[in-house]
Amino acid sequence: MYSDTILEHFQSPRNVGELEQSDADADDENPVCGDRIHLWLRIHDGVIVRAGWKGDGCTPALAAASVVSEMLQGMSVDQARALSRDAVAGALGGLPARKAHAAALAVSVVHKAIVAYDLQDHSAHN
Amino acid sequence: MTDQIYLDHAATTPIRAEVRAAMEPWLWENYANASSVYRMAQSARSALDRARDSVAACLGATPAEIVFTSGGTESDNAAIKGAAFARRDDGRHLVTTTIEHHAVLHPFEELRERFGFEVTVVPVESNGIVNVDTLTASLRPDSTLVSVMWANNEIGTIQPIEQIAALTRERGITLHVDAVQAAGAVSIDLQNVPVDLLSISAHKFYGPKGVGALYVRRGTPWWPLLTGGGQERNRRAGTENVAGIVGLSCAQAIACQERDSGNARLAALRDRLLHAIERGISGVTLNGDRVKRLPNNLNVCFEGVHGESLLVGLDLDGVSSSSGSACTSGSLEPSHVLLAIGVPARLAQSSLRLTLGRDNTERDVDRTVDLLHRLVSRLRAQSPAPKAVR
Repeated sequence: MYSDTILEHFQSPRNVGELEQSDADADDENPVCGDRIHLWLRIHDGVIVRAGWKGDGCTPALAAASVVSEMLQGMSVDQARALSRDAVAGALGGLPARKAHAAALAVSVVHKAIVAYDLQDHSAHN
Repeated sequence: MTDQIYLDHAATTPIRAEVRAAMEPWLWENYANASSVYRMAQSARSALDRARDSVAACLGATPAEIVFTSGGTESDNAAIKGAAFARRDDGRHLVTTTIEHHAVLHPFEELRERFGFEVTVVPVESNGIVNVDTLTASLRPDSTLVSVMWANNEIGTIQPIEQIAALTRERGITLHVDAVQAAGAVSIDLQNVPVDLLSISAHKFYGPKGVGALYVRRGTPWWPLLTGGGQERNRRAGTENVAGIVGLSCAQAIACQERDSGNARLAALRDRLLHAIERGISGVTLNGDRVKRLPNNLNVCFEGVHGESLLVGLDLDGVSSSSGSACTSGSLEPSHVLLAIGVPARLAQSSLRLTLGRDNTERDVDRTVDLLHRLVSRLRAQSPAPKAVR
């Protein structure tokens, strides 16, 4: 039913936990099925150097959060802004169609975190 | 790879060795059509007759009242549609309950939507038991059929069938009982309980899949679902599944014989599992009545974790279980049974069903509790704080 990658990330999730010093964070949920993800990002010079997350949901929702937290590290903010559901689903080794919402939630929370980052004044750092 | 622990006996059970041995000759040695006239066929016919005698005896019925079918779904459909249609001139009001299996609920919906019957779906109490007074209040002079399950497949609750049967008998209403989950675990004596139609399925009590039976009490107005051949005394057309029917009768006979000792053992294991879960894990609620339930059934909500994640996590550790709820295409599909007993949709999503069987041991139970404890702790620890979501 699920790919080996989904099961592996579900069983051994990466980067779980809130980052102590984060530069941006966001949370999102699927109000219908109750999947929730909170994402924290540490960003230096426009590049994501660390991502941490906490989540509650079905197996692919948790695996998507885990895989996204790995994908984000080393990505520029602009690349993260362009992250797509297909890219996440691909990194998970494919998602059953009825579980596509798992990738959608992970992407949505990334985009929300980037928006939150954009809204900050970065002049002091640049 | 660690040993597999199978805790999904409500879904299906493995075929017992004795049953397999009883079936084998009819799979390849004697493959005759039991309706043919040569000696090999007559031997198959005799096997069918013996199976029918045995199934009837286990139910307190007569052999002529047993119709072999392809399983629980067919038995339920045949019973409900056959009785509703046969009595359509007496009335068009039908009654069932909110916790029935979909093999019962969907035929009723079909009768309502396509054939103009009126259907009352009676609610149950929060313990998952039908209130006979509520059921009585739903009956009308034009009610012709009531269908109530003997035991629920999700939460294992056992219904007051004796009382309901007395009621329907007094009112002249046909009573169908879906005993698919109950058969094997509950003593069924149709000589003393005036049920008119009753469904069973072999694979729920260590028999083969694809075979079941419908009991039709003598004199019950009822039309067959399948026509086209004279089999089963014109009540179920189709070449008889001799091996399956022999397997059903063998499995049922053993289940009847071992019921009391088996139930005591399963209830002890079930209680050990429940007590250990309740002792070791917080935020746990048992769904369904604590006492009036099948000896092998536990259905538990683990607050704050998704049942699907529990199921997958347990599976990765070698434990097969079941969760009533799923989120599909972004929509929540909680178990209709849990919703019917008043469990909120979000909590229902955290449900896990563990159903024990004859091969399970105390060691299996203890290992499952240990794995569940670790899994629930991990999933809760990685869950965001409740206020994180605005």
